[in-house]
This record gives sequence, C-alpha cells and structure tokens, in this order.
Amino acid sequence: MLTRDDIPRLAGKVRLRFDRHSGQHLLLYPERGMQLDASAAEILQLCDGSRTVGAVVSELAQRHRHECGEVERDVLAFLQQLQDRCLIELGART
Amino acid sequence: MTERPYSLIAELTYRCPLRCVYCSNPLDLHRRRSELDLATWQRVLTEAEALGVMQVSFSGGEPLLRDDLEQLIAAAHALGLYTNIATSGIPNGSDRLAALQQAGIDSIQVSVQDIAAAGSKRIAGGDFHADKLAFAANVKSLGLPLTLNVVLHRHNLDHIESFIQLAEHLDADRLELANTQYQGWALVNRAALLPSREQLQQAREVATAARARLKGRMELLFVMPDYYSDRPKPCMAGWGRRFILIAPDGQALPCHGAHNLPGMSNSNVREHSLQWIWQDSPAFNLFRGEAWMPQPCRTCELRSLDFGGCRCQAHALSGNAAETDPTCALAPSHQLILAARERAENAESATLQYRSMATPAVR
Repeated sequence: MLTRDDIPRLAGKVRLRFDRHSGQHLLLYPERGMQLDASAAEILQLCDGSRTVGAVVSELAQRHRHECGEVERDVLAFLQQLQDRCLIELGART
Repeated sequence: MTERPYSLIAELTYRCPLRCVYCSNPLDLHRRRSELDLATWQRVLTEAEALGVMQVSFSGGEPLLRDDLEQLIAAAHALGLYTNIATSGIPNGSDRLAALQQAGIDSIQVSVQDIAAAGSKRIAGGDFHADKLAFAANVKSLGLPLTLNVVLHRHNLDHIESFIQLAEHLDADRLELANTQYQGWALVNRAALLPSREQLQQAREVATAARARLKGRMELLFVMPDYYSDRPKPCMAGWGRRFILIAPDGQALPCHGAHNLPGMSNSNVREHSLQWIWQDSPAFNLFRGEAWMPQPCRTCELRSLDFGGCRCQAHALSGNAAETDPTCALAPSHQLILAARERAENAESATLQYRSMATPAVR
C-alpha cells in the first residue's frame, strides 16, 4: 500500500498533457488515455519525483485552504489506483 | 455532431521481413505497393492533431523499413502526440533506438511469436526469435518503455506461463497476451490456429493469477478471442468514433480490414483532407452511430458497448457488412462460429499459409 512517505512520479510510459480540444489534462499511455479533472491534474503535476505524498498533500491543503487529513485520504486513494494500474512509480527520480 | 478521433494508426508500409501466418494486413498485398512520402505523412499528422488526435501508433508491415521513421516520430512528437511503434525490431532496430529516443518516442511494442526459436519460426516463417529478444533487451537498456506483445493461438497458448516469465525477465512495462483475431491472413489459417475452449480457459487462469501477482509492477492484458466470447468485441471502439487508420497507400480506414468493404472508396489522404475524411466521407459515415444497425443490434441494450462488433468480420464471414458480427451468439450467422469452434475441438490439422505478396490459395 502507498504511504505518505512514498515519492510518486509518472511511470516512464506515461505522459501528462493538456488537451486543447477539451480544455482538460489527459494522461496518455500505450493504447489508452485518461481524462483528468482539474484536481487530479493538479495532484499529478506535483508528483514529479521530488516530493513525498505528504508534501504533495501539504502543498494542496495550503493552496486550497483545506484540512490535510481530508486531502490526504483523497490523494492516497487516487494515487493508489494509478499505482495498481502501473501509471505511477515510487522513488525519487534518478 | 461528429465526435473527435483520439488515435491514429499509421501503417507506414506493408513490407515486412516476417511472414506471420496471422498477419492482419490485407490478402491482396501485391496490389498495394505504393507508400505515402514523408511530406504527406507530416501533413496528415498535423491534420490529425488539429482534429483531436492525441496518440499515434506507427505500424505496418515493419515500420523500421521506413528510413524516415525517426523524422516521422519527431514530427508527431513536435505536435505533442504520444508516439508508439509496433515493431519486430528487424532489421537492425537496435542501431536506431538511440535516434528514435532522441526523436521523442514514448513507447515501443515488440512482438514475439513463441518462447523458443523453433516455434517462432513456424509462425513467422524465418529465424527471428533471438534477434527480437536482443532488441527488446536493448529497448529497456536505453530506459525506453517496452510492451511485449504475444499473439496467441493453438500452438503457443500452452506456453503462457513462459511468456509471463519472459516479460518479467525482460523487465517489460506491459505484456499483451492477445488472442489472434481471425481476419486477414489469420482467417486463411483459422483451422490451424483456433484453439480449443479448454486450452483458452487454462491460459486465462494462468494470466489472471499472474495479473494479481504482478499488480503495480507490470501491466498484463489477456484478450480472449471473440470466437469464444459469445459477444462481439467493440471493434475500434465504434466505427468512425475514436480511431483513424491510414494504410501505407494513404487510404484512411475506420477499421483494419475495411479495404475491400463495399462503399469504402474516396477516403485517400492523397486526395482529401483528413478533416473531410473524418467528418464527411461516405467511408467514415457508413456504419457510424446506430442508424445502420439491423436486429438484434438495433434494440439490444449492449449496442452502445459493443457497437454491433466488427463490420469487416461480418463481411468476411457472412458476406454482409451490415449484419450483426457473427461472433455474437444472437447473430443470424453465429452458426459459422460454432462450426469453426467444433473443428477446433477436434484439432483438425491444416497447413499454414505464410503471409506473402502473392494472393493466398483458396481456403
């Protein structure tokens, strides 16, 4: 299970891209794509291999003046889904 | 209003060093030797991006046989498109990997035919297995994302455990275990390739267990053959709905097997803009939406999920492209599928016909 101390980043096969046709961000990977809402895109923009999940949560909570606990639940659930599907990897970017 | 396309399949050439007996390319390859030049492909990529395409997969034939593959990848990358190539790695793929990486390639799919040289040769018609494995290893050594693709059939389904081990050994990012789709050359060779139900079930169990074990480490897909599904596959996610395929000669198609369907003329990118082809051409509107659907599709609650299956398969098997895909248990021609399954249960032996530029003998 993913924890707040893990350092998430997009898997090598995955690209995060703004889609000018829909005005939303997309995750692109072999033979598939995933449309992201604004908050999912914001989370993934912070998952650049330089921050722990905890640091991503603090940053988001501060930006939006939300409670850390609530944000952490949402972020962990979302990232766990992506990890199960091999769309993110853990560990600092080398 | 027409939906936007998301994916472009760019078949760069029908030339290929391999002669796989299940190739999805058309049977009349000898009539289809002309290829689009680089400038035309660059225009097509630009038009595709403007229409909404986000991904492009370069395939063939063997895309490495195009000397300008690096320039094509670079052009797609510059447009922000996600780029993939489907390749055998032959000839000399390893020598070009650094340039492809430089050009911005996002993903490489390498297919293997079997787990050892002899079985691979039987399917591909030549000795390519060792070179493919070396190529796949080189993809990973450069840090490029690797999909290992295996087309499954009667002669390799029992090796599924070994394919999974091979993918782990290669550190592949994805493993696609996809049963043969019985179209093109695979339909010619169906009697020799179609597995039994028992074989399929065993393989599926192994794949399902491995998927759970590898969760979070490797993406594993197991695609059942529609011949045993009783429901048709959602071919191309619907006709003219998500995908544009462009054949080497420039003909734009809504599906791999659509070359020879009645009504498929006038969709060549040499003569028309991709926008016109996508939105207005008779070809892309032929089976778009639901108006064309016969019963039982017309009132079926699954029609928005499977789109009535594959038009090309319906045409190839029943002679009527507007009929429900015969793989559907409710289709009027489903008996054709049941008969093919029954022959597979009896392990009817048949000789393999290799893909070639000559028309195959009558099946």
